[in-house]
Amino acid sequence: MKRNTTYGLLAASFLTVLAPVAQAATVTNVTGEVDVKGHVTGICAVLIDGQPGNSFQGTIDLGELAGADGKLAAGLTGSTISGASKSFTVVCNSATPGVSLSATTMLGDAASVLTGYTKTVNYTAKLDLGQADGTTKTFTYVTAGNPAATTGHLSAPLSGNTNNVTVSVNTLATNGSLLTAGNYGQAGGGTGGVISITITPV
Amino acid sequence: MRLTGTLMVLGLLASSQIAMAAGTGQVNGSVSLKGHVTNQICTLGTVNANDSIFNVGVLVDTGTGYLSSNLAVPPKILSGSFCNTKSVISIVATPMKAQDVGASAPSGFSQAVDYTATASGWTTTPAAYTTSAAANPGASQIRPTAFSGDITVSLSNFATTGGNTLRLVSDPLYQGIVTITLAASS
Repeated sequence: MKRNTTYGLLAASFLTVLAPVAQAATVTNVTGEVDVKGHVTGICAVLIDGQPGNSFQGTIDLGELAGADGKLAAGLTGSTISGASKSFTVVCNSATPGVSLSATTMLGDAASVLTGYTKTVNYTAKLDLGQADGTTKTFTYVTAGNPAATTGHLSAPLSGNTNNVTVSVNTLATNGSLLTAGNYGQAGGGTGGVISITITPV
Repeated sequence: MRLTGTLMVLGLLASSQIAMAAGTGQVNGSVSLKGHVTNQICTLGTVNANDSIFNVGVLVDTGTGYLSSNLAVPPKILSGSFCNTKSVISIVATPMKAQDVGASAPSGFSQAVDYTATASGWTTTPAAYTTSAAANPGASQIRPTAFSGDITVSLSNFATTGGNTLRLVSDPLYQGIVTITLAASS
């Protein structure tokens, strides 16, 4: 038992000796690393009164469509129509946002159309987008024939300017007949005449 | 501390969801067009060959001095006439009167020729005006719908003013006027 006790002390002595060794190990430099990461999801938003949203609407009132000769007014057939545009402020954080533009033919609300008359008005919808490099990217869509939507990408990021997206209409066209009296376009009481725009953060 | 940490994480998740909702992906827009055609427009077309004169020719039978019984003149056509609404077509005419004679004709003579002017093609019942008639209720006709087409104006029923027992005074020009009016009607 005595011998056993001695062994026990020896064991205790070892512990005493070893303890400083262990303390010496804790003063070695320890390095650590904590990485910080985050991401910015591609987004596009329209700012309406400063508030972000996902959709915008507007109406372009072309007024009287017929000229003195009863046919489409000459002032509506040119490549620009004064006042026939709406501008919006859109923000996108992607490099070259995608764009889709389509529109529907504008129709009058007349129940019937007599020989020599028409209630169908086609047009060109135009979408101008201001780019961050100062240029303007333009997309157009001609409603005649109801083609597939015009699609594409900007060549630069969308600018951060106010009213950087402008929707306009020009080059109204009929088959040359007299216009039937009535209201034209969905917003006016007829049908059609809706320009649809999609801007995607890609 | 653990509770606080958990709340912070939840807070971050919530903020992230709000940000995504506000600007998720694409922006959709629509711009609607509207217009109207309210001008009530009526236009008489162009007279054929740009010749608006009915040339009736010699009015009398040179053998008798009375009005010729076979007077005829080609009609005039107003091509491309249209109204984009309900319309009224009216016709008025004045007798052909000798232009170089006195105020009154000698006994047994007349210095005017009556006739009927008719505008057809626009309405089911042509508008007609007889210069000798006391009233011409059929001179105005209504078309209830918009229409485009030709209006044919013709002259007929020539008769010596005062009766065909009168001879016509010699004159190089007997002249009358036919007026057609096409008007929008509300």
